[in-house]
Amino acid sequence: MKLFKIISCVFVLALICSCSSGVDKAYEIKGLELTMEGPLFEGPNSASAVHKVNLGQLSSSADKVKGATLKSVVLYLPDSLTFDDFSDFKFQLTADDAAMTEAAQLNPVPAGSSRIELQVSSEAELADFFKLDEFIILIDGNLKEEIYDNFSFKADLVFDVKVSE
Amino acid sequence: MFKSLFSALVLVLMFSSSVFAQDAGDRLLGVWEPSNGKARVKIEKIGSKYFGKIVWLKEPEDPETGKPKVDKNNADPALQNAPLKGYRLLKDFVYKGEDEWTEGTIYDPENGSTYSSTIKMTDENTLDIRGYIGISAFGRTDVWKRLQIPKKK
Repeated sequence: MKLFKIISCVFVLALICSCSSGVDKAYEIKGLELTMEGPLFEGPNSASAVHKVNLGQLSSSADKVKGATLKSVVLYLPDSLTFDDFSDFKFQLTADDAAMTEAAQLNPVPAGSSRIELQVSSEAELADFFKLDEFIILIDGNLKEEIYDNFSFKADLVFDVKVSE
Repeated sequence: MFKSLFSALVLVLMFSSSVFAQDAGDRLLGVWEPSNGKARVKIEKIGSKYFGKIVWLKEPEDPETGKPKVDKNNADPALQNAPLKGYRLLKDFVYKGEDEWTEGTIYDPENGSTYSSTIKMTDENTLDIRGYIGISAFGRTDVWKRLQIPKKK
């Protein structure tokens, strides 16, 4: 009887482990180019880019994605420019087949910065986006005053994607 | 010959009806004001869905801090410092035809709750926005008006 209980426990534990097993891998998007198209007015403005999902960089596939969270977002400009025209930034993902999800923000933007790192949410679950062919990266920023031109910047993103092996 | 002509006609009709449906959905675009007059919300299209963000607040500053209002009731601590100005409180609405947008959500920054939501355009300048939990019968409807730009004399 005792042996039966032990075997049952081992079996249940093995089952739990097999269900939750997965490996966290870093999915990187480097040098993403984003532009807010001017003229830009004081208040909220947006820049977006479509990203084609490439799980090949993780040696995995959509059906193996078990979870995903944002690890870091860095926005940057050439050294001679700063983000001083903006009071704050917000980062979201969206897609036709997945609900928009906020995953990072920065408020306020530090003065004189040509490179800023947003505060990421560890709770925002982004796995649905990595099961699609593509998703939209959306960055909002509140402008302190008008800019009569485009505003272009780049972003480096790192996601933690949990994949089953 | 007749068959291929018929097929081409069907394809043209299908394409034009889907384009018409998209254009009809775009009537939602613009700046709208909820009945309490506390905010103005700009509805825009991203991909094929509709989203609304706060572009104006009647009281932009938090009386407790004297600083611009932030999303302090957000359940996610990492996002509680995001400003309300620019916040997308309407998300993921899909145009279903007959002046109705469904499958969306509406966020109430005053309590940090998100509700399922539908939008019904009752005339070109009026929306019935319903927020609900679970089924649509258990909810509340608010009437939003399109922001009218004063005509120059």
